[in-house]
Amino acid sequence: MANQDADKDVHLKVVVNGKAVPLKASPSDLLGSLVEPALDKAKVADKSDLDRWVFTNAAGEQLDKNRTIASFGFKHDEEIYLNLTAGVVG
Amino acid sequence: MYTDPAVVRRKVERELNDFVERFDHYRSRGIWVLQYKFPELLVAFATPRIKPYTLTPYAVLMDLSNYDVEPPSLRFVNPFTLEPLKRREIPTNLQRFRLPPNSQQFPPVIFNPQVGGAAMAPGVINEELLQAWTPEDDQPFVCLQGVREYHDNPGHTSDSWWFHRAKGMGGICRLLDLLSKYGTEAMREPEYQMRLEARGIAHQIPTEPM
Repeated sequence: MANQDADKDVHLKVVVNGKAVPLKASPSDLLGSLVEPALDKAKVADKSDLDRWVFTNAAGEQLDKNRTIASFGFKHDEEIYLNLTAGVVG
Repeated sequence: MYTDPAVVRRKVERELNDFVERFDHYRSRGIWVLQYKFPELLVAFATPRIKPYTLTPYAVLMDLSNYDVEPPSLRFVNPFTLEPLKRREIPTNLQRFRLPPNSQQFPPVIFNPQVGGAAMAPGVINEELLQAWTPEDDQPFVCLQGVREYHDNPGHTSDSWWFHRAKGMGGICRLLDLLSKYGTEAMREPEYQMRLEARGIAHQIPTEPM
């Protein structure tokens, strides 16, 4: 059973501030759940502002972090981008 | 440079390697690296959405001295001559629309400048990341955490670079991504202006003695 679930896992390449890290996730997980593990793998030390990290696809369109990974229909090893948004201007 | 140039160069080139690995992605978005001569990186920004002709309205000279003890310094330049651009010569405000904190009224993607143009709606905050004193100012700066000019500005002494360094805010790829996202990628169509000048009026001055 565990192997069957593992087969369903989605393999992604998350590009964190330009650096690609491989990640594996369950299709039922929300996209937002990948933020922290992606930052861990990319060795981003400060994870205090997780809300400010946004996912985009290769075309630069923002991906909704509240949707499940399955709903995006990602291909195997598809690259998605995780970037820190611009802060408040002042 | 007060840091060890060998260490800085290694850090810079490690990030540039990340960029090169995704060269096609960045090229297709109009982020074109023209030159790298440590500690400076010259990047031109082209408009991927404007048809049928591509425009390259500006380039950015990134000074990476002391990186990342200090964040990168950004200067807008003419991509041909490398002359610094005045504020009025840069055809973007690096405009960003966002919702107020904790607002759940609309999905944020609606206000992405890349989608459907500059959709204005009640409650949406309109920010201009490119700041200058006057249109003639030849040192317009990007008012963004992770940019040296932002942290060096007397108005931002309470927002030290060291609060943001560990988040990768001054990352080369991140800054290039944002300059493209709010700059050239948000440009969707050229705006034409017709200007009529009445020439020849000077010739109407009588030449013969009255």
